[in-house]
Amino acid sequence: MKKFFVLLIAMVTFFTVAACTTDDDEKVLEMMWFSDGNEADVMASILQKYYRETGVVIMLNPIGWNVYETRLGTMIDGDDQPALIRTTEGVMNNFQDHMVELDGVFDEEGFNNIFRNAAGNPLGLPMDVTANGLYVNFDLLDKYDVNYPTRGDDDIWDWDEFITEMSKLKGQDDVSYPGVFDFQGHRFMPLMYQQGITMWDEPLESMNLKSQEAQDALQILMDLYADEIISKEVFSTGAQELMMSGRYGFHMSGNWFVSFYEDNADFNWGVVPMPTGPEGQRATVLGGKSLSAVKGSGMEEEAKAFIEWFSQPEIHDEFNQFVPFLSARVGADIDFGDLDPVLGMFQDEISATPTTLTADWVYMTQVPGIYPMINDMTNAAAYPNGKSALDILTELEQKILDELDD
Amino acid sequence: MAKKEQSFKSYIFRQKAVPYVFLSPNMLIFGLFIITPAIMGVYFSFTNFRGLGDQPQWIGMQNYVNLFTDPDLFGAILNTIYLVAVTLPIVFFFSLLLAIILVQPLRGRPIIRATYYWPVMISFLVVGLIWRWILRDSMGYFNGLLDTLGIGRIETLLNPRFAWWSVVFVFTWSRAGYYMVMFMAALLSIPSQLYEAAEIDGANRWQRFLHVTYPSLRPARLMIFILAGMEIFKIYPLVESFTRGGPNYATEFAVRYIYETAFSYRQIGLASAMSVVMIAIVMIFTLGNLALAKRRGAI
Repeated sequence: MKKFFVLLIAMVTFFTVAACTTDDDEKVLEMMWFSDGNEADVMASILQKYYRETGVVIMLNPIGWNVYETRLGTMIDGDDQPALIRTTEGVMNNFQDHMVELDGVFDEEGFNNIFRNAAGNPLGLPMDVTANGLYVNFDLLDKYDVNYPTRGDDDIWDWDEFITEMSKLKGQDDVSYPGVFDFQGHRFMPLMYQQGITMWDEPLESMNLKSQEAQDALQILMDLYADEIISKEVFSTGAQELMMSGRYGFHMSGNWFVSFYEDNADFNWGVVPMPTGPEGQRATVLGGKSLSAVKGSGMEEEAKAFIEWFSQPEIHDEFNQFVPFLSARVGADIDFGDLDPVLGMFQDEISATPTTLTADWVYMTQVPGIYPMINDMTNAAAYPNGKSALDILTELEQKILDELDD
Repeated sequence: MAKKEQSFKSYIFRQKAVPYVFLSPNMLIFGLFIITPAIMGVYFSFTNFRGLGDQPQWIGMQNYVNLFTDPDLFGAILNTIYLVAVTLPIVFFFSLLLAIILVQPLRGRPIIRATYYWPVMISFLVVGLIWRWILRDSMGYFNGLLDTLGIGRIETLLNPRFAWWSVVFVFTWSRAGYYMVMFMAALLSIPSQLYEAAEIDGANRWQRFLHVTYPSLRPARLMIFILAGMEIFKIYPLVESFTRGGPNYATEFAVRYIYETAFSYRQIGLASAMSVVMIAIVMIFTLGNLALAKRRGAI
C-alpha cells in the first residue's frame, strides 16, 4: 500500500508540475529514481523546496529497480536521457561513459565513498552509505530464550554460537523458520570479509574465491540452508515480506529497510551485531547511493547546479534524516530520534570493517552482470545438487574471469 | 472508347489498391513494432550488444557458437518442450470438455460460461500473483487451509516438482476458458442434420462424438493446437510472477532464460541469438502441425 501511495504522490507531482510548466523559459529537468522505502516522498519534498528557491522544475520519475538499468539504457539509446539519476556503484560503472564528470561541483573532501572514473573524476554526489546487518524479532527471540548480543557488547557471537541460539526457534508452532537471508548474493560478502579475506586477490585480475576462507564462508551459508535455519522461500517471496509475518527470528539485510520495518513491523524489532568470523573479525559490506547527471540531456549545467545545491549540509542532512539513511557526508551528525540505536548499529558494523575490505565490492560492481552471477551462487548454496562449496565458487570465479576477458 | 478503357483501368487499379489502403495503417504498425524489432533482433544476434547505451560490434556467429555450448539454455529449452508436451493435451482436453458441457441446455448457462471465461480476462502477471499468494509455502492460503483441516502443511512452491506441476495447473486454469470459447463456436457450427442422421443410424452418444463431433472440429482443433502450443512456448509473465523460475530453476523456461540473459546478464546479443533459435523451434512446431493437418485434409 505504501508503495502505491509513493507512486501516486510521485505521479501527482509529475503531472502537476508538468501541467504548470507552460512558460517556455521555465526549465524542466527529469530525475530518474528508485526507492526501497520512502525516499521518493522525501526527494519530492526537497524538489519542491528547490523549485521555490530557484524556479527550476525537476520531475521525479520513479522506476522499479528490476528494470532500472534497462530503462536507462533504452532512454540513452533513444537520446531521451534524464538530466539527473539516482545511482549505485553498479549503475555508475555500467553507464560511466554517459555520466557527467562532477569535478568542482561539490566539495569532494566533505564526502565519503565517492565513485570516480578512470580519470579520477567523481561521477556522483554520494548521498548515503549502506551496510548489511542483522534485523531481529525481539518478541520471538525473547519468547524462546534465544540469547543475542546487543550494541556495545564486547563479547559478540560467532557463527557457531549464532546457529546454536537460533536453532532454539526450530520446530516452534509460531515459527516458520528461525530466519531469512535476502536471496541476493550481496549478503554473502560480509561472510567472506568476516573470514578476513576479499573477493579479489588483484582487483579485476585474480580472485580469492577458491581459498579455504572463501569456502568456509560459503559453507556457513550452505549449512544455514541445509539445516533449515534459513528459508529457501526467499527465492520467490521477498525476505522482508516473510519477516513481517512475525514468524521468523532474524533477517539478514541492509539499512535501506529501516523505514520499511518502522512502517510495517507489528512486533518489537531491532538490529543486533552480525556474528564474527573465526578470528573474531566483524565486517559488513559497504555500499551507497549517489546522485549523478547524465550526458546528452541538454540540461547538464542545470543538473550540476542542482547537485551543487543538494550537497549543502542542511539539504543533504534533511534527505538522510527523513529517509532515514546513514549519511555519506563527512562529519554529519543527524538526529534519527528513536531510530538512532538501529542506525548506530549499522554504523558500528561499518566502523568495525577494516578499510582494506571496503574497496573490494566496488571492484565487483565493475564486472558486468555480477549481480545475477552471485545470485546464482546463493541459489546453488541453497540447492547444491551434490556440489561442494569449492565447486560452486570455482564456477563463480570462472564466470567472473570469463566476463572480464570479454 | 479510350475514356472507357481508362475508366476500366482505373476501376481495376482501385480494386487492387483499395485493400492495401485499408491495410496500410495495420501494416505500418505491424512493420514498425513487430517486423523492425525482429530484424533488429536478428542483427543484434550477430553482435556483442549489451544495451547500456553502447554501440553494437559485429562478432559474426560467435553468439550462436556460444549458445550451442550452453547447457543451461539447453535445459531451459528442454524444460519448455516438456511443458508444451504436458500442458497442451491437458488444456486441449479441459477446454473441449468445458465446451461440450456448456453448449448443452443447462440452467444458468450464461453465468457458468462467464465463470469459466473469467480467468482469461485476468493478465498473466496477476494470475501468477494470485496463485503465488495461494500456494506459497509458509504464508499461502492453501497451506493455511491444510493446517485448519488438521492435515498439516506440505512443501508447495519450495518443491521443484510441485512448482512445475503448479505452472501446468495455473496455465490450464487461466487459459482453458479462452480455448473453450473457440471450441464452443466450432461445436455450434456443426450442422444438426449430421447428428440426426447418426441417431437414425443407431449411433450412441459416444459414437456420435467420435464420428461426428470430433472430426467436425478438425479446423478448430488445429488452430487451438497451434495457438496454445505457441502460447506455452512463450510462457513468461505467468512464471515470473508465480515462481520466478524457481525453485532451483525447476520452472526456468526458455523465454525467462532469454530475458535473464538479456536484462540481468546484459548480454542482449546472445539473448537475441537465443530468440532466433526459439523462433526457429516455434516455426518448426507450427509448420509441422500445418503440414500434418494438410496431409490429413484438415485444411
